[in-house]
Amino acid sequence: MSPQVFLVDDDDAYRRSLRFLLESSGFNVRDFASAEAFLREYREELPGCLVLDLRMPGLSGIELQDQLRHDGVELPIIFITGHGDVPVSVQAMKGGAIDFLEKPFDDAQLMDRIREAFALDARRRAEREERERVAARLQRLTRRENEVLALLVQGYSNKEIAEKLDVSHRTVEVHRARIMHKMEAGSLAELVQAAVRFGIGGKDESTHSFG
Amino acid sequence: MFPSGLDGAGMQRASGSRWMGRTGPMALAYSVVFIGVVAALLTWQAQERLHGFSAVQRELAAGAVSGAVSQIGVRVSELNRSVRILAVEEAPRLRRLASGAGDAGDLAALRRRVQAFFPEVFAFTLVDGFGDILIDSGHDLVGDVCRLDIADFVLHGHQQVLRLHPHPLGSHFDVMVPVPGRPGAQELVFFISLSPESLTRVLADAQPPGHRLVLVTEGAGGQAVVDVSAQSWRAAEEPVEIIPAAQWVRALYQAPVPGTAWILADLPEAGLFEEERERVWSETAVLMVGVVLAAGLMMVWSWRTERRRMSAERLLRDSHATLSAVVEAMADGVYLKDRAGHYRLVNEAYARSLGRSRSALLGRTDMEVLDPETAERNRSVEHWVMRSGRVDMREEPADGDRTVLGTRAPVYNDAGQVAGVVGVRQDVTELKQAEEVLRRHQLELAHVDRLSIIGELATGLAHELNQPLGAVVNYAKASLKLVRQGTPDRQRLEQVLEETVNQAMRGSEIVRKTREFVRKGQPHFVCTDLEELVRQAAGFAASELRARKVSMEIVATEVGIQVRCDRIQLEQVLLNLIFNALEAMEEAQLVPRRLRLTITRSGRNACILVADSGPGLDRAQCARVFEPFYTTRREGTGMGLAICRTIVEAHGGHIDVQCRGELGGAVFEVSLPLEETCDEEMPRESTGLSGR
Repeated sequence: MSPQVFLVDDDDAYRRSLRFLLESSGFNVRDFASAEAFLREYREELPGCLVLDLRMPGLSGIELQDQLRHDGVELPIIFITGHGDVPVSVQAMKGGAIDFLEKPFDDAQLMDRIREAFALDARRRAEREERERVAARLQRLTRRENEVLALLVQGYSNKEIAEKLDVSHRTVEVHRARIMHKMEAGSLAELVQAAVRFGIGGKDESTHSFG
Repeated sequence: MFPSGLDGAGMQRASGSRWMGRTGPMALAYSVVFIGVVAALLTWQAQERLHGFSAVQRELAAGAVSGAVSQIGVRVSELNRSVRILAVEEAPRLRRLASGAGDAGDLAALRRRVQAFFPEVFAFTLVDGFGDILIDSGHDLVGDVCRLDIADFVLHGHQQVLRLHPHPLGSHFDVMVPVPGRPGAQELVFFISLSPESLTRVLADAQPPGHRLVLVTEGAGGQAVVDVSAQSWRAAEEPVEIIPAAQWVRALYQAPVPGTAWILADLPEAGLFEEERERVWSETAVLMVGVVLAAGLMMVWSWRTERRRMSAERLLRDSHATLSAVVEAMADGVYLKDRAGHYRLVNEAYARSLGRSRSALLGRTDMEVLDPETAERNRSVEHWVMRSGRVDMREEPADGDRTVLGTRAPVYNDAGQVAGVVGVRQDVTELKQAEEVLRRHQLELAHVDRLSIIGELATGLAHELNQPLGAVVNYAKASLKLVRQGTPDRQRLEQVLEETVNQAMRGSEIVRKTREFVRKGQPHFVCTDLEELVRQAAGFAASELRARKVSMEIVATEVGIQVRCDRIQLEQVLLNLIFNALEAMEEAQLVPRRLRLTITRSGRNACILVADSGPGLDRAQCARVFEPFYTTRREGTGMGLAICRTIVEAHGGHIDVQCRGELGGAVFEVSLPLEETCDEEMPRESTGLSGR
């Protein structure tokens, strides 16, 4: 599914002009007259980015940003505003906005940002899929295999694991082979990377280190 | 017609003289003269009465005396005749007795005859021609006096003079007659002594009351000796009653009694005149006292009346003098004209303002002292004032670029008819200049206020302006792209360019309105649809409202409510009120935030209500909210509402506040005079003081 630009601005004329500009540059644009309208229409699976006017009646841009983050929607946001001030832009950027553009802005810059946002969105979506895959695989591990995986990620050798779990070296090797298979990892490094990305072991280790 | 003395000359006269102090002494003098005249009259009348009295008494006395004299005369002649008859009848016997031939019987017979003739006989005597006594009735009466009388009688040819003879046994008088006989016979004189009792009776009968009739003989030294009076006659033993000459002159009347030595006199009783005088004078005195009292009362009464009149007069004069002084002291010109336009009163300031003397104005009309144009204008205004009975105030040009406020009011006479016009000319040049300065300052202040409003609106305005600008840029870039692609969709391109123009116009409109709003210039009053104006002002604040998440509604209860106003100033008022509402709601952190602008009509006023959903105002805030420099906001200057009030009042309206209104917060109400004749030309300024 190709990414779309979700354009939210209460000023009809401006919204129409921007949509026209973006479309003439080849973007797929959907426009909304208010944040509420956008929230009604938007489905999380729709990729793209949000071009958001800061000042609007009803939900403002910043409030929409908060709302989306609260809902766990990671759609990248580019703020546009007629007149911005520093505190609001800082707040927007802290909230994870890609950029904060003041009207009238250079269209090339906006398009660069949109493309950047698309890329970011695509990357996030890919990561999320990866994470979901890893999670699905982790579901398949037994309890003992989970323990072994945790120790592996922490960098213990087979021998040390066998000692810690008070099992034979051989048993550890069997568990490890099974984990590699279930997690569809080609190497130990791949396994550790997947586990760390998902938050296994690292958290445990930090607990050890600082707890 | 006019209040007395209200002409210039009269005023001076009244204020210059003080004749009123003389009235008292004058009245006193009049009274004294009056009393004097009355006293003289009364005295004269008393004298007259006394004179009359004394004349009456004199007449009475004369009558009494004359009467008595004649009665006594009659009596005497009767006696005389009786004695003569007796003497004739008894002559033989008398001669007999005289010759000594008679006897005791003759004497007794004689005695009986005499007593029969004269009941009051005292004695009778017969003497010879030499005075020798021949017969004495026995009383031994004959003394020296008798002898003198007898001698007188004989010598003077039997002419008897009646006189009283005092005698120890009683006074008496003698009636003498010769005894007739043959010629050559011895001369005999017979006389009868009579008691004066009958004379006393005559006097008593004739004597009027208060008078005393006396028979007197002349004594030595001009003194009168009373012989017989109504009460008594002189007896030998009695002391002689002597009337001294000084007293004698008081005799009212006296007349000699013929045939006697007596004078019959009327002596008034001692108290007669004194009593009368006393009576008259006491009556006069009573009258006098009465007159003096009456005069005194009259004087007191007239003095009090006079005093009242004088104090009233003084009051009048004082108030008049005060009024004159006030009128004179006024720096403003004051004049009074009658119906025909003649000056009846002018003060110095007025005369000076026309460059003329007072006397050159009094009695003249404007036609005679002013240029025809001004005079005609004055006359027409005065006619209007007198006809309508209303007061006219207008500004009029004066010499040297000065401005005068002329006030004219009708003057009424006692009958309530218009008698003329009173006018005051006040030089208001400095006032006007001060007003102008104040007006300029207010304009400056209002301008500063507008600048600060624009400052507050800056963010919103920038946003507002960037929308069309951004749109223009977007359209232009898109057009560029289309053109660069080589084969632009012509229809699309036209559409885009049209949009571009629209947005550019939109942007310039915002700039124009903003510039207009901060424009510094003279107010320009035009007929304005209030709803349209409210919508425009609200439009200014629209982005600000969005930013603050305030929902606004504009309600007009009827269409076409119009006022005459300076649009900018009225928008400024509305923006101030809107900002106040926004601030109030912002600080109170209440949601939802609502703002309602209502355009309505209330009687002859058009009203704009600005209501918010803020916390409202407490009583103290409510009371002070229009004061300059009063603010509840941290950053407010406190001038906004004060300026609003100045602006609204300059529009002939007023601004008011309800502490808590329809939406829970304060409601500000701007009332302006409704304009119903928008199509007409602006009416001419009648007073010019509003100036705006």
